[in-house]
Amino acid sequence: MLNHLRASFAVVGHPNKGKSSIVSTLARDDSILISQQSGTTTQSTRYKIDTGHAGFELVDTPGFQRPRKVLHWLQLHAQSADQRALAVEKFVNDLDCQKKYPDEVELLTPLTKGSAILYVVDGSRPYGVEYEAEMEILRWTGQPSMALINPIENDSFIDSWKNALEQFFKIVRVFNPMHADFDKQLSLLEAFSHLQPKWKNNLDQVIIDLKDQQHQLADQSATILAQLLTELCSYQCQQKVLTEAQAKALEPILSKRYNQWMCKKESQSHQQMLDLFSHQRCELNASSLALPPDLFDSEQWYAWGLNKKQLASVSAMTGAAAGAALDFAVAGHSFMLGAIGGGALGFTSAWLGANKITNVSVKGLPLGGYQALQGPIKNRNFPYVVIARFLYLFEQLQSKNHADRSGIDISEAISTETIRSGAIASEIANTETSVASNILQNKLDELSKSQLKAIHNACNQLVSQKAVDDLSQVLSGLFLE
Amino acid sequence: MPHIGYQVKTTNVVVIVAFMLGLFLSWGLFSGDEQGRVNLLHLVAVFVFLPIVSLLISSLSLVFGKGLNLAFLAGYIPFWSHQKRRDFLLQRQQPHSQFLFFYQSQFAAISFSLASLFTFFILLVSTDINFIWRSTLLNAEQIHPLLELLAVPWKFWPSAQPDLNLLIATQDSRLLNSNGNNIKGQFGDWWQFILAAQVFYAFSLRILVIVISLSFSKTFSRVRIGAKSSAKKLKDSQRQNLAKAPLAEIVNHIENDYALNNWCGISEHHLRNIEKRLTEKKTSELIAGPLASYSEQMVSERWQQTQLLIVKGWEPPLAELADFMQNGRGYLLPLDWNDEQLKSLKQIHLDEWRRFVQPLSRWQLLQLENIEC
Repeated sequence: MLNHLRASFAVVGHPNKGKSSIVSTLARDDSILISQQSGTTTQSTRYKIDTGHAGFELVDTPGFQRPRKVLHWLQLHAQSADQRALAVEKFVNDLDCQKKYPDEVELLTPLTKGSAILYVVDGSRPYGVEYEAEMEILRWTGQPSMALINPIENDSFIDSWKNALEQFFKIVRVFNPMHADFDKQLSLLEAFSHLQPKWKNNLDQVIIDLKDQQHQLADQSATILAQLLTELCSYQCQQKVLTEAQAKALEPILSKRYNQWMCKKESQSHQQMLDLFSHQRCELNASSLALPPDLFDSEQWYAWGLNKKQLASVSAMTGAAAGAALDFAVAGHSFMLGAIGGGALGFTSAWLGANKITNVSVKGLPLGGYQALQGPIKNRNFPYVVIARFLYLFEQLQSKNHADRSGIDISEAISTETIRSGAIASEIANTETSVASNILQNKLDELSKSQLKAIHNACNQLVSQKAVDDLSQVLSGLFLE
Repeated sequence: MPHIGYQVKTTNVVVIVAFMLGLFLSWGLFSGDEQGRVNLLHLVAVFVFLPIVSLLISSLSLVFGKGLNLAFLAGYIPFWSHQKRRDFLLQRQQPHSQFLFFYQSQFAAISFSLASLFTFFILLVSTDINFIWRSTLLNAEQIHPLLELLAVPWKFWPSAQPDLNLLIATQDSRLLNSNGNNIKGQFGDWWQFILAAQVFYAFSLRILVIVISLSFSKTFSRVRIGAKSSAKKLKDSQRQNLAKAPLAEIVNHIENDYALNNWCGISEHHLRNIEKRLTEKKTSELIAGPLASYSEQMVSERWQQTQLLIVKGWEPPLAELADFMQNGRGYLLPLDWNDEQLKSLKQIHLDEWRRFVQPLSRWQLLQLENIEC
């Protein structure tokens, strides 16, 4: 039952002290407008944060604009302390006040409906007496309250702010929405639960959900990477032509098409990561994925677009099926020689006669020719390059708060030279100094021998065009703290 | 959060193929021999044991995530093109691919069962099905307890329960002809038992397992932790317009004598410093704002001559300052300082004040040159 009592917090304070930033970080929503221009928030906005099994509500409010006049009005309407909360309620319902003091009415309304107070101040600027009127108004609401000191530029005045705030608020915390890590965010939520005992169960569940979500994000990142690796390592660009010369002439076109596809696919996965971490508005700057050279090849194709091996397999199976029908017709008295013989005959005739098919045409349509091929990648280092860039993005996203609207630059990646050099995968970090490769090396160092071996095996299998079972599971070790 | 989960999708082709297979196989099974004789034990094997075994295999494959994975097996067929093999590889990397294959096979099995039920019904109506059973080793007394056990789920349906006398009466031998020692009409009496077995083991049990697995699968579904806002999202153009508000011009000197209004409570030391930099004469001192008493505020609000209003430059301008400035005129000087020294304003703060002064026609924004000296 208590789980249904969801906490509600109104984030209030002077304009431009980071109220919306705090809401954005705690709500994990980067669509909330944050501006260094004051007065951006003109109306209270409720953000319902649902964590799956619990949740809470944050109300982003406009800043105080006429606190001294409002306090004066309240003082005129409350003769004693027991009338103060009623006076605040009367204030927000008064039509004249709604016209004269729209900002204060907006910010006090959620408090009259039961929201707790999160009062935000800037710890990088000195305390001023002008804040006292608004703190006094908040005290009049009688709601549970907490002050958050947001050190926007520095922490020079945190102590003086604490001294002042502790006289008005039950709990005072320093919280920087731009840089507060996950643990600090959880610690703040724990502090919230002390404000109102009836919200404790729900907020405890929120904390459990958030911790669980961290694991889910790691798992899902591993899944996205597994899909990306499989797609990039197996992609092949091909074009059928009649002669070998025509096939070779297609090399630059196929190469360009191939490179564009690979970069686009990586970019899509990175975008998936931004969506996964709810950083849809974050700008991503990534250099092009470095691809190894010599990916072009050409091979002959035969009827139905099959290569020699496939044609032989199909012929063998068809022969075996026909032979099996014969075995069936004679009720097994042929001792399966029909199936065996048919299979062998089909395979041999296809293998030996394949080249003749290319010269045959049916009504002008050739039954064979050449195929220009670009890819798939066989370079053993390539999967590690993709992993390194992906892990770098993962780390950036993991530490990025939703109030932080700066972009992410993943151009710090492993250069093409590494791939060209053919250095073995485990040596990448030793030969490269880029941030991405260092992250990869650090992660690889943290893994157990069996995990490391599984990753190396998986990468080898990927470039050998073999299926890797539970690839996301194999990669998940790279995403653990 | 994008749903990196799975969707319960099923291919219609598989469902249709399973239905057709169910039709043909059931037709063959229920048609029996030329006398319409159908072996009851074969039916029990097909409609009870086979569904149970296949259900177990699919459930174990689901739980362990491996096993009879169709994509896994299909990927090994040698004549697939590179593109097709790639598709299989990608399919195997799908998150929770075991669920995809599990649901696919369950829907196929249900389709098969529906076809069987349909065929059974058609044949019950249109022909006589003679349920018999034969065994070299077992007799009716040995088989009866097993059939009773199988019929426990539909205990509430007495006529669909296995009867020992009926079992004895319907035992057959290929040496006997069809009119041998059996009572006419009794051969068909097993139909209710067979129908109940089909409905329960081949149909209801599947549906039950799907429902259970769906609720189980919810633990795999990803919960998005995020906010639902009551506000309309601002469009990008609206966001850009916020920064495009017109800015007031900045002046560097005062043209009239002035009354100094210390709104922000700046120290005497800094005040004297500012006075020294101005060529015009200070005529009086006023106090308004947070530090002012009621009477001081009243005096300031009634002042009609030029004021030099000093405010904290880092604080955003509030409406109460705008209210005050509506009645007066003069110069607004936002300042930044530390204990010892005046500092020049940050550009972002300066722009904020320029936007603020712009609509106030009787006021000008003052910034002193080289204020840090």
